[in-house]
Amino acid sequence: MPDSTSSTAKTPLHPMFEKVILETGLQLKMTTHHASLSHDPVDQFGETLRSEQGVQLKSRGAKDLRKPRPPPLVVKGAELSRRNSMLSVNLSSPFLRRESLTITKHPSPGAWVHSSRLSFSGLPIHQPPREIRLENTYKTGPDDSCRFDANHIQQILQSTLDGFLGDALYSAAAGGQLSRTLSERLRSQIRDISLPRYKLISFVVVGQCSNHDLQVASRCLWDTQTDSSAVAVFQNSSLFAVAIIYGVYFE
Amino acid sequence: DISALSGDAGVANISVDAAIGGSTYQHSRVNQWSSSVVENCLGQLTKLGKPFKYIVTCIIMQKNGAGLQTATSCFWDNTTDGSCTVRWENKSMYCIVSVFGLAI
Repeated sequence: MPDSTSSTAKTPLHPMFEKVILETGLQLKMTTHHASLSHDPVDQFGETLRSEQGVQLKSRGAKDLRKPRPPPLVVKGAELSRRNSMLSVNLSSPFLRRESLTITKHPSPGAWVHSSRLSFSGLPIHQPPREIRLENTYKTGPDDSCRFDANHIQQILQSTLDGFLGDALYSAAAGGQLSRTLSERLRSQIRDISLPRYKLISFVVVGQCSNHDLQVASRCLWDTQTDSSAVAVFQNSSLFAVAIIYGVYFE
Repeated sequence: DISALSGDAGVANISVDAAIGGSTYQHSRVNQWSSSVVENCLGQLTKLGKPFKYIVTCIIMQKNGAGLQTATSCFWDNTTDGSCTVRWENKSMYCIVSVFGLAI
């Protein structure tokens, strides 16, 4: 075995290890067969990782050697990721679900460890969306003065429609853009005067005035004390427009 | 969760078919039709038992060669809220149903 005594990153691999590593990455059989390790292979492993992959390692203390570790393998992407997953399994971490894992030690149970993670092809791993913890406001409903004022908003809708559409003519090409613009404008207007913790939905229907009939209906499942809606209708000789704003309180 | 709304298109379609399936547009009945479409839809959605507030809108329009545009703009939380719109038609009328789901 000419390679076994070289001082490069390669070190001799116990045949049992090789077999286990090749089977699956997450087997725990390793724990029953282990060679006694000195600090050198582990430090070398750390060195190799730092230099080759550029991943931040948290500092490892002597207590890492409580559980048996595989000796460092030749650094290749796939093998490395499998071995790292084994390391984490040995640590009984909560990251069992993940295939390619971070190289952190001893995450406290039940907490996400936010460290920079790179998969070994160099692409970032999708992190779960971080929970944003806001302070508790202890409010169960909007303040009395801060409800969705349907009358006031209806007036605003009406005046905006009149102003925006005054003499507009309906055209199929421009109609789509017109309705989108109107919808966004109404929403941002109401947003400016609207109260915090209210979600807004603005719904606009623009149609051509011809010899036909149309009905717009809506029904809502919400809390009637906090949520409300406002409607405005506009019509001229060539087009009509219906604008509805729904305001929903976000608990 | 937005993925919950992917099933709502089916729900809306079924409600519309049940209410106005093979009918011809009649001005006197359209009020009742739109109410029943919307109520059916809302009933089906509540049966799903998800923690959402719902807004269901229905537009029924007679087919007459005229054009119609609808647009919606929403101020909400993109990760938890969503909407879906279903267009349905038969020989005499169009029906557009929009469902908005806002997470509690």
